[in-house]
Amino acid sequence: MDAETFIWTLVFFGGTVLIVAFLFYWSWKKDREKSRGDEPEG
Amino acid sequence: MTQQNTSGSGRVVFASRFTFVAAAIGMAVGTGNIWRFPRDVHAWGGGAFLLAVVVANLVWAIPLLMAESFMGSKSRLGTAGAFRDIMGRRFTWMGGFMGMATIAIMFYYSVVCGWAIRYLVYAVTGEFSAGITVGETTSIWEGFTDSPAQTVLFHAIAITLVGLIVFRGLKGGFEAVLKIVVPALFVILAVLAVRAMTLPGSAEGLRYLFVPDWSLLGDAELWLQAFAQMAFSTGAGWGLYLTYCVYMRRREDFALNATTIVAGNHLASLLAGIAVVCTIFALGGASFADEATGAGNEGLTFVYLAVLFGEMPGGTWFFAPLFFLVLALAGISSLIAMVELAARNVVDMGVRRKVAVPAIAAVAFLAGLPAAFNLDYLSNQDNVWGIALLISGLFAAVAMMKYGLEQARRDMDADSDFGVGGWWTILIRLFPVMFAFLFGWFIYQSVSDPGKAWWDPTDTFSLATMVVQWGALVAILLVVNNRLANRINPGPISTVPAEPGRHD
Repeated sequence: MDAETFIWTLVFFGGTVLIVAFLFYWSWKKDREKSRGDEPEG
Repeated sequence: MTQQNTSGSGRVVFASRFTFVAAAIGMAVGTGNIWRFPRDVHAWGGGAFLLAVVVANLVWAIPLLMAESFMGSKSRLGTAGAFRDIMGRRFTWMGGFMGMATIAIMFYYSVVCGWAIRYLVYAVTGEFSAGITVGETTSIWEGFTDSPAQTVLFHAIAITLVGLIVFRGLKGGFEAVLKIVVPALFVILAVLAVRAMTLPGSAEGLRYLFVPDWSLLGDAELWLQAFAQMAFSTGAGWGLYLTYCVYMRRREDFALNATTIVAGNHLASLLAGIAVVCTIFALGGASFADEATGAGNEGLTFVYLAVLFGEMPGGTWFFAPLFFLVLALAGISSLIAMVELAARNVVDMGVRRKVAVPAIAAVAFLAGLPAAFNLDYLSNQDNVWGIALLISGLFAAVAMMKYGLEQARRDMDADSDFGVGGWWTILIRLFPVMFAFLFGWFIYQSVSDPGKAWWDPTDTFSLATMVVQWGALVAILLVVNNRLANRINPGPISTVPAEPGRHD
């Protein structure tokens, strides 16, 4: 694989994988924080 | 975490954010991700087209899905009821148009799902063995599509299977199925993409997919194609996400969920693109790839890829069944959302789900028969109602403007993890401009192409056939507007009094 193909594959595909992973992590984190906030104290 | 199964008002809701987002990604990921996306990327400059799709996702799909989400979660009604309660009774027809456009797609999409199931059966029974030729796979395809008994049978199987899932409702029905099917779909796509990338010569496929030809970015046609691909692929403007948001938990996010769904759908497209294009380049070479991508959606998938499975190590018994399984699952996960959209609208009118879903499946079977018999009819419907999605998207944006963009933003902010910024109101305000550009360019192309009989309503791809069918639908909906508005049950923000004897 030539350098140009490698770089653009990394940008478009690698970038999408990272963004999806990041979004799922944030979704999970925020959802957990919200659920904890909803639980009654005590 | 405390699992919520009902909203505060007792309505059934998705158990978790994961299942909700998974279902919505399943709605978005369909056969188009697998057979249309790779062809469009090749035709329009690889990375340049990808960049345009990303822009289209950001300026059209995400804000529009947020608007749909707001309408569904606020009204807790299907498309027609949502437009009635968000815009006012006089505009119920707009929700009817959005719903009917998607239902028209459902009719032929069930036939397409039937094709995928048929080819899964072919693959499992070893039809694509080593040494099979393009001539032989063409014969298989023509033998199948020229046999109404087969196309109708597999259309019936697809709509019955999906009908049974939707019949059971959210719990034990489509939520239970989609939370397994959608992750499985990504795992299978990843396996196919890794297999394709590890074939000798696959780098040419990656070059074809990802290296941009920047000179094409100035071409208006590229942007039109990118927006069309985005509209087909993300489900924005279909009313499907609006329908799933009827079952959204009360305190859910709007911007983050919409972005996750669009990004997840984009990832599915890229995985499918790698799996399809790298396989074609590695096993067939550049000229075979040009021939394959020029053969249309069905030709690429059912004729050319089918040949290559015979040449791939493990292709006949493992990768061919896996590929057609993912195609079938992608189609079925989208068809589930379409049938649920129809069911939600009918249930809103007081019909019990157990009556509504079998009736919808029966109507979908009958209305899908012309598409099962005739590929030209299917292409016509795909064209007419596919473009109508842009109109449905415009309607959703107009509904938000009528409701009040700042008010909607404040309402969404109250529940969101991430604040909905001023960017959302700006983009929704820009929708009519974007629509005018896209639609205007489409009309210009139709009228200026001397090879197209744009004035002929009997022509499969003419402008006239679209205008006539859209016009007929709008005319019918305007006539029945008041009856439709009266018939739909009141929702939590309705000002319409409840009628006795209605069921949920």
